[in-house]
Amino acid sequence: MNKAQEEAWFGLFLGVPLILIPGGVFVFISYERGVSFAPLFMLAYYLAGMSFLPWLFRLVVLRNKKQVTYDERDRLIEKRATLISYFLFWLYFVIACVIPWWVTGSKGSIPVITLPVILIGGLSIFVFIRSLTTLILYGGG
Amino acid sequence: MTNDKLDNQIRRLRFDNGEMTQQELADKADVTRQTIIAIEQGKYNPSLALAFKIARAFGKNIEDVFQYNQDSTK
Repeated sequence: MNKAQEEAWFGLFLGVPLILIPGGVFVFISYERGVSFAPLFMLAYYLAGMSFLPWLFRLVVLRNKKQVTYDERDRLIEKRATLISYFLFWLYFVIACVIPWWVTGSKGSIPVITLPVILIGGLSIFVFIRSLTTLILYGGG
Repeated sequence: MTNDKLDNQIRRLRFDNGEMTQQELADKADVTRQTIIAIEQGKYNPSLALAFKIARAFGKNIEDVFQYNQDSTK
């Protein structure tokens, strides 16, 4: 298992929960306590950002500079995985924007909190699909 | 419709060159061992630059290592 695969497993099992959990906590507290929207949103993002610290630590500190850990095949797989996840992210985003209109009608309204929830969902989908696609592409050679 | 396939002699050449390991070849070609495995199994077609590096690692011409087969199917 090379570095890109380890990162994909990391994204699949830790990246998504570390985006979803702060996002869920943020939504829950906002609804239950009615706390101001902005600081919680920033906290959720701070926690989501923290999830990338172990990743950064591995990349910067633990990298074995003598052995090649990333080459043209890894670059190709990464590119394909990013393209696929980016396409699905936009598909999700379009659907997420159209559904409220479809459900509530053109004169309807939705809570403002729906917007960051859509964003957190989009980020989770992007990380999940990218990690999954990376692992599938490595499996298929 | 065409089905392009790149055959290779990497496995045979590795053994002809003192049973060179996949890791040794990977180090010489500046790629990961997994990439060598994928190329050997025909699952990944290397770039032209990498194909040259692999051929040079064996001291061969590129045609001695890789053979291009174009199968035409309807």
